[in-house]
Amino acid sequence: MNGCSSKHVIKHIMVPYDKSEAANHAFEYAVDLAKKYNSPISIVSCVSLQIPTDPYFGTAYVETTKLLREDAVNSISKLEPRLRESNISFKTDVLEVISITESLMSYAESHDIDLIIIGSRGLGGFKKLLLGSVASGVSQHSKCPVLIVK
Amino acid sequence: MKQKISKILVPMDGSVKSFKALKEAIYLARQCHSTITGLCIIPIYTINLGKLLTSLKNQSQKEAKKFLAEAKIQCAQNGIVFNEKIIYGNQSWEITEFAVYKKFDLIVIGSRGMSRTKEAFLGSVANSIVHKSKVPVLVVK
Repeated sequence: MNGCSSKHVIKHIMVPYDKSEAANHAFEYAVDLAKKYNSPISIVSCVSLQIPTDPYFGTAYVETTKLLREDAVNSISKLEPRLRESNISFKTDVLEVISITESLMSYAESHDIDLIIIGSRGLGGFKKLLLGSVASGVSQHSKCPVLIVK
Repeated sequence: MKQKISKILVPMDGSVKSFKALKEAIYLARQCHSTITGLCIIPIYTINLGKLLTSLKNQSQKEAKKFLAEAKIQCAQNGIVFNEKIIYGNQSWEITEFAVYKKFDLIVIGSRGMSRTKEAFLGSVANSIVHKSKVPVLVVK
């Protein structure tokens, strides 16, 4: 067919990651799909700065964001051996943001992501929560396909 | 079709306004013979940090348990059954999802919480709950 654009191909996968069980499952699917599509993976963790500036918090604000960032960098680095052994090219990023969903969306757009693989829930919520706020927001606003993994 | 109000959800953050909302919920509960569930949402950044911020997590949890215990006393004084629930996560989302999951009949929430910004009408959490909730919402000013 003439003039067939490469619009519907998977060339770059993105995995928002937060150490949760679902995020780990999403990562495993990403590794599998990245091998099959021969595509690089971008792993992104968001550190949300929605930390209240209550009196008892005070100076702990800066310290807390620093610790959050360190923890995110640390947990993402634990994924690297798995990526190396599977021979997948990858990029990791830790973003300091106000809105997690919005920043994931703009990252996806600016990095030409073709597929987002995300866990259905993160670390919080209650046991029977079906879909977390970030997964829900991403699936609604994403311009590219989203694979939600439980 | 008559709609009974038998389960009332009161999101609380320990603020004066949230206790005002609780008082309103107590009044309704007495009329409608309902139970009240006090729900406190603790921001998620307190839980994924291992040892370093465990003290922060413990502190938030302690604070939450403290004002929920106070809420329980106020309910007991009025003969209302009070359940407490603490959830970690995104405030507006967890509240609206929990309300649907546990089939609450009414959410009673203060117009503002702990934040000091005097927004014109509604604080951000109350505002998004009013928009997103599938369950009727009573906003207490």
